[in-house]
Amino acid sequence: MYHLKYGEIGRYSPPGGELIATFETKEDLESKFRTVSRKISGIFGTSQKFSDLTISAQPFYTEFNSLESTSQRTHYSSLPREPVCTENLTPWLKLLPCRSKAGLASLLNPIKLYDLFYHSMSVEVTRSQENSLSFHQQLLLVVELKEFKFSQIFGTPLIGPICPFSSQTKIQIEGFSDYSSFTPTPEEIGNNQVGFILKENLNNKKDFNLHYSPKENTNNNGYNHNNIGNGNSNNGNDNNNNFNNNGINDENISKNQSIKLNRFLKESGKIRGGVITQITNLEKNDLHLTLYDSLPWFMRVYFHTLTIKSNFENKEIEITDLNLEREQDNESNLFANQASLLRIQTSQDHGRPSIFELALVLKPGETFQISVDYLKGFLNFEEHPFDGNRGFDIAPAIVSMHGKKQNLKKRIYYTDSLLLMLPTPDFTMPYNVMTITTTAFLIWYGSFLNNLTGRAGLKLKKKSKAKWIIKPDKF
Amino acid sequence: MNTTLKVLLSVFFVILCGSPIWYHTMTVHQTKLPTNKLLNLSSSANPKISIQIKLLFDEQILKTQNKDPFLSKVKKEVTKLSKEFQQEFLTFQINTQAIKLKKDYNNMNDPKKITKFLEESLSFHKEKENQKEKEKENNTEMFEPKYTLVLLNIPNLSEGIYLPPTGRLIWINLGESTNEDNLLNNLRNFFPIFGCITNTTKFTTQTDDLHLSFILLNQDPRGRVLNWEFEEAFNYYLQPTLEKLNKRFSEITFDSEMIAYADLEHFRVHKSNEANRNNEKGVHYSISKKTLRRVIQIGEWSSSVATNKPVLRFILFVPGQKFTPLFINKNSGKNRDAFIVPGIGGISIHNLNKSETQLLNKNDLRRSFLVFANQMRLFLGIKNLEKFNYYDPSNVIHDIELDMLILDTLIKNLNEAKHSLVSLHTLIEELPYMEIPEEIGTHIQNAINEIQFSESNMKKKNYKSAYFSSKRAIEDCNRAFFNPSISSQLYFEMQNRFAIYIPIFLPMLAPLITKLFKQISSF
Repeated sequence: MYHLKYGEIGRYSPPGGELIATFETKEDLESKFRTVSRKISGIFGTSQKFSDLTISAQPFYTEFNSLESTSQRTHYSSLPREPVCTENLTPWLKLLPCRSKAGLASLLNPIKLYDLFYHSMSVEVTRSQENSLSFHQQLLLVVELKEFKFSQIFGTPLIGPICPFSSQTKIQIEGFSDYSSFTPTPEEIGNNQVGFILKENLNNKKDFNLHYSPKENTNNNGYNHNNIGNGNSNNGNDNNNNFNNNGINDENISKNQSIKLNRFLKESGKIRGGVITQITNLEKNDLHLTLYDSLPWFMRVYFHTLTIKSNFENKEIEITDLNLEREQDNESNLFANQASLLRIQTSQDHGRPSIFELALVLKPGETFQISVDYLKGFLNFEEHPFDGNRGFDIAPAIVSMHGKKQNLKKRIYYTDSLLLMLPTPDFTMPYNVMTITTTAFLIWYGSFLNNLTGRAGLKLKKKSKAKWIIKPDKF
Repeated sequence: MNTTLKVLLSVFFVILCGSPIWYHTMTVHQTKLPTNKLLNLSSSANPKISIQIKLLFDEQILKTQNKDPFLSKVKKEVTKLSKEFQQEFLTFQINTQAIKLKKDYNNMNDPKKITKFLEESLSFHKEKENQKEKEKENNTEMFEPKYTLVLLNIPNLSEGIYLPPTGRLIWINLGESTNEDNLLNNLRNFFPIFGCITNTTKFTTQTDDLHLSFILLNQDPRGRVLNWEFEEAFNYYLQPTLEKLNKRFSEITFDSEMIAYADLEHFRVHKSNEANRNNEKGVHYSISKKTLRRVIQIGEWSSSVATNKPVLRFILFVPGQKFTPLFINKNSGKNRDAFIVPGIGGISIHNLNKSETQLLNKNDLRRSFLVFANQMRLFLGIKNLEKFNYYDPSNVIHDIELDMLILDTLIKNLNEAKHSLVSLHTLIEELPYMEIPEEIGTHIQNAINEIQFSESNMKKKNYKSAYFSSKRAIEDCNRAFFNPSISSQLYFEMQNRFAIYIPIFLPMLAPLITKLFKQISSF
């Protein structure tokens, strides 16, 4: 739910790694996806090659890109446990024509980068209807801003050169109420944003610094709290370019957000549990959403327990089973009812995950709580990872906003990922078995050997003070 | 029998009964291999490839000679020569004939026109069409190593052997001197073409499928952002060759990339005021040849491409203004501007002239792409031979060279496949405790079948099918040899197993045995 925490400034990625591949034809999608995932794994140094059929699936009703009718040809996988680090950044930078030698990419110092609140990097390759390829790389970072100096933010000063391959290198700033307080003067001033265009004749010696000097009349530091969470508006005049991030202010955040998502596990022991997803409409209009949830095969989902509750109504909302062919439907059919079940896929052990897709219509201010129960599977000894007691990461659900009527851009939101504790076998059992059997064997053998090898001898037994009786004895 | 003896005997009874069970659990599963077939294959020699050469003499050359005795004499001499060059797998059949060429070609001095003239005169174009029709009918490409060698005397053209880009017609210009010695010398210079493949410069001997990566590396793009018309240049200079290779030899894919910023840290760059390769005076920069030898990897000069095939890189390096012009300094002789790094690829240095714009078009790229073409020849293992005139630089690989590449690879594949099967068999024999799963048996059987199929095709002179069968045979052998189940096994001989159990059981058994002897001796 990073859009709630940090504002809707880009497309956030789910935790870990994600691969979305759309192919030209529907045939043989699985083997094509496997080939793609292995190549991506090789290029970016990730574990995407483990995106096999037990994890990956096709979301039929989630449109990841702007092209229509691609969902039947789209394959998706998520690896929530994937760590993102320097070994992924280096090949990502290598795709840039100047790599990390010039331009804004020269700011990317891995030590500082992976110490930030949030970071995500993505590569998007799309083919337009005119058959031209576009290649888009995005790096999204959430930084604690104390001073507007690149050396403070990134640990590296921006001293040039600018990458000559780029048509424009621009620093764009949004979310301030008073842009005239910036020095140097921005080249572009727009609605709620300014742009500084960096030119090739950058001064090579000094860091490119932006200074912010708010005027005396302002009560705050000029920062518009509407976007990025800075809850306290009474920081007072601050002429030293210091910005205080005082945490999240729900009221201010929700002003510009469309939905609020929450997802958690309803645990009840080591046998069964439940997944609950809460979606709140923060808009003033009805929202048409589709929810895609993929749960791994060891969460044996009971689909008959799928229920939706609304905070507006006391009873459960009826889920209409649409059971439509994808080619036949259109958006109006999908959202004809308040809640429609678009698709269910049952899981197969070691085969495929459980999937359900819902179409939801939320009124303004309404919260839907979607819950489903599951039975926990018991994995083999070898199937547990090395840190078996940590739990299994469950990929987030995807909420896709369909907004033709409201003229909203189609947006994709991810819920939080979950950490599921499965019943674990006793990993010390092999040691225990060896210890017990060898101990038992040795006890038996020891006493056996003792009996066999003991010598027949004379034992002196005192019967009375007067007499001594010599009696042979075995031991 | 006292209790002690009973207990001892029962212990030894348990050991006696348990030992076979223990031994049975120690045995490993080895799938049955077709050993006889394997050994027969390995001991059998490869079928020989027969190369037919039709030697045609222009009657003008024979003016001063008696035709028939001369022809038969030449045939004998050439047959002797061919035996010098005969390799284990190649045999030659030579026929000689005198022909009358209709036109007066002596005044021609353009090799391309002469080739065209010869093809028309000898109806080669008709043969080509017939061949194409046959191929369409049979739905396969024919490949017959039959070559026509025409001997001419054209005083206006330099002496030597002329290889046309396509077709199996080769002609030798004897120049002004048409005597027997000159003729035999030229023929002696011709035969090395059948041994023009070498492994010394080959990029990899593991596979013939490659991925070519063409990189425009702009060392310092400040002030000059370069672009190149790669598609046009590639289509003109290299595409025909790649098509030829893909059709007949192996699967070669390619990509192109532009990279900026590279350092010359690996190379020591010297500044010099001496005359450069064009004999122009002025400051220029050079890298010594010694430094090049130390380059093992290029590091940041490489592209980011994900492929299962080995990547052969061709880098067009444009030095920055600070190091322009840059050359490679040979100790003696001219400066060069291209070099190869074994295992990585070839580099060509392109020094931008002041007149050149920032877009390198097809003409600007001509020299570099021809250098890449030559480097590709080296990496494929094709030698440039003396006395041969490669008069069409746009044609990278001649048909006869490709034929030899295919035949050489075919024989090499068969030998390698047989050798690896024999090695595997020997390994299995020496390690009876190595587990051989069914999968390996299947691969070995497939490899044997492919080798037999390839050899039978060679006997039928269907070399194309034979070549692709030999490729599949190698793949099956590699799958068998590098099967993961073999590499994960630890091979314990029986002595090693005893060595594991003895330290545990011997101290346990020792007192039992001594007690048993004592009991027996007390009787």
